[in-house]
Amino acid sequence: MLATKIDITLLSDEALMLQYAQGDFAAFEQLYLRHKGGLYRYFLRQLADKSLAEDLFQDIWSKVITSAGQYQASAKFTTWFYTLARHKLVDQVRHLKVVAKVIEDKADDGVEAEFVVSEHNTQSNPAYILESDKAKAALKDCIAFLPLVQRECFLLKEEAGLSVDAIAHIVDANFEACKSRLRKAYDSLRQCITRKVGAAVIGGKVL
Amino acid sequence: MTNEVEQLHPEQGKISELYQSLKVEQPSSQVDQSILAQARLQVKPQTSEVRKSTQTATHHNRASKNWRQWQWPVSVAASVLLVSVIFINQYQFFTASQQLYPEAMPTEIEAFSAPQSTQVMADSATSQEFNTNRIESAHQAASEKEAMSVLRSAQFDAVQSEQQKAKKAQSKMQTLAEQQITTQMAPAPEKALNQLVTAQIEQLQNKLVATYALLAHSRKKQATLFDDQQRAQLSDTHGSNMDSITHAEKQELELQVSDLQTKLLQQMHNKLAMQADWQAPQDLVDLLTEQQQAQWAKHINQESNE
Repeated sequence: MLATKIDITLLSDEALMLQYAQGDFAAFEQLYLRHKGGLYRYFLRQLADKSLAEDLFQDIWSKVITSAGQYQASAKFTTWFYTLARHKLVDQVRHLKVVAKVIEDKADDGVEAEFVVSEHNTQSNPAYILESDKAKAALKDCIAFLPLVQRECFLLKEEAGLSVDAIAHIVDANFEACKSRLRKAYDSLRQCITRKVGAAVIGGKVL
Repeated sequence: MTNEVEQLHPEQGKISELYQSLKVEQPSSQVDQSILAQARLQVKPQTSEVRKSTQTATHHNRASKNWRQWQWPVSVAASVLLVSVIFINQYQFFTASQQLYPEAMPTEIEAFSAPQSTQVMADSATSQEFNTNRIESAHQAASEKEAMSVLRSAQFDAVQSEQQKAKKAQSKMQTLAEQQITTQMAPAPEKALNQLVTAQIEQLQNKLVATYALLAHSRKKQATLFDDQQRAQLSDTHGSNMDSITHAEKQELELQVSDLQTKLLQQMHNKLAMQADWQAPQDLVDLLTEQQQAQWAKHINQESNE
C-alpha cells in the first residue's frame, strides 16, 4: 500500500487523471488534494463569496469526474482544469449579475470587464478583520481592487502555477497581452500595499 | 519560471512569497466529502457494469457455443426427416394409384376399338347388318361405361377404408392422390372414348352434308331431265334419239340417286348411333325413298321407346 501511495504522489496530474479514468479512486483523491485549494481560492478571490465559490468549485469537480473517460493527456491537466473554471466563472457572474464595482482595464486592450468585484470583499469581512498580518491583509484587499483581467491572470499565476503561455490560452488572449497584464498586476499590488501599510512589509522585507 | 517572473516585475518574487502565506482558505469538509463520494460512485457502477456485461457476454458465449455444437447435427437430422417423409408419401401415392387401376389400359383399348368396329360395319355392311351391329355396339359402349363407373366406385371405397387407418398426414396425401386419380387417371378411357366419338360424329356429319348435296343435285338433275323429256315428247322434234339419250342418262342418274340414298340412310343411322339425341333434318329425310323414310321413322320410334 505504501508503495502504491508513493507511486500515486509521484504521478503527474495527467497520469492521475488517466488512472482515475481506469477506475482508480485513489488517483482522483490525490488529484483532488493537489488542486482543491487553488481552485477554491481562484473562485473565492474573484467572487468574494464563499457559498458561490463552493458552488462553482463543486461544479468544476463534477465535470472533471464525469468527463474523466474522455480526458486526453494531450492537453495539460491544469490548463484544461482552469479553462473549465474560467468559463464557469464567467457564466456564473453574468447570470448572477453581482455588481459592486466594475473595473475596466483601459490600459490593456480595452476589453470590457467581465468580472465584478463584490463589495463584500472589504474590511467588513469577518475573515479579513481577524487577520493580524497587515501586509497580508493589505495584499488581500489590493488583489480585490485589481482590474479583472489582471486579477485573473495573477490568480492563475499564483494559485495554479501556470506559465504565461498557458494563462494566455486560458483567458483567450495572446502571450504579450497576458504578459502585460501580469506585469501591471504586480505593479499595482506593490503600489497598493505601499499605500495601505505605508512602509509595507513583504515577506519581512521592506519595500 | 522564476526568471520569467522576475522579468515581469522586480518585486514579483516578494509579492509571490507574501501571497503564499495567504493561501490558507480551503473548501469545507462537506464539500470534500461530497466530491469524493461522487468520484467513488462514478468508479463503482462502471466496475459492476463491466462485470455484469462480462458475465453476460460469457454466458452468451457459452450458450452460443453449445448451440453451435449441435447446429450441424440438428440440421442434418431435419433434412433426413424431410426427405424420408417426402419419399414415404410419394411411395404411397404411387402404390395407391396402381391398386386403383391395374387393368385400366386394356379397358381403354377396348373402348377405342368399339367405335372403329362400328364405323367399319356402317360403311361395308347392308342396312340390316348395320342396324344390328350398331345396336350391339351402342349397348356394349353403354355397358362398358357402367362397368367402369361401378369399378371405380368400388375401388374408391376400398381405398377410402384403407386410408382411414393411416396417419393424418398420410391420409391427407392419399386424399390428394385420390383427387388426382379421379381427375387425371380414372377418366382417361372415358375421355378418350368421348373424343373418338366426337371425331366420328364430325366425320359422319361431314359425310351427311356431302351426300345431301350430291343427292340434292342429282334429284334436281333428274327433275330437269324429266321435264326435258316431257317437252320433247310433247314437241316430238327429236324423235327416237332423244328417247335413247335421255333413257341412258336417266338410268345412270337413277342409279346414282339410289346409291346416294342408301348411303345417306346408313350415315343417318350411324349418326344416331353416335349421338342418341340427334334429330335428322327433314331435308335429309325427304331425299330418301318412301320405303327408306318409313324405315327411318320406324327406327326412330324404336329408339325412343328404348
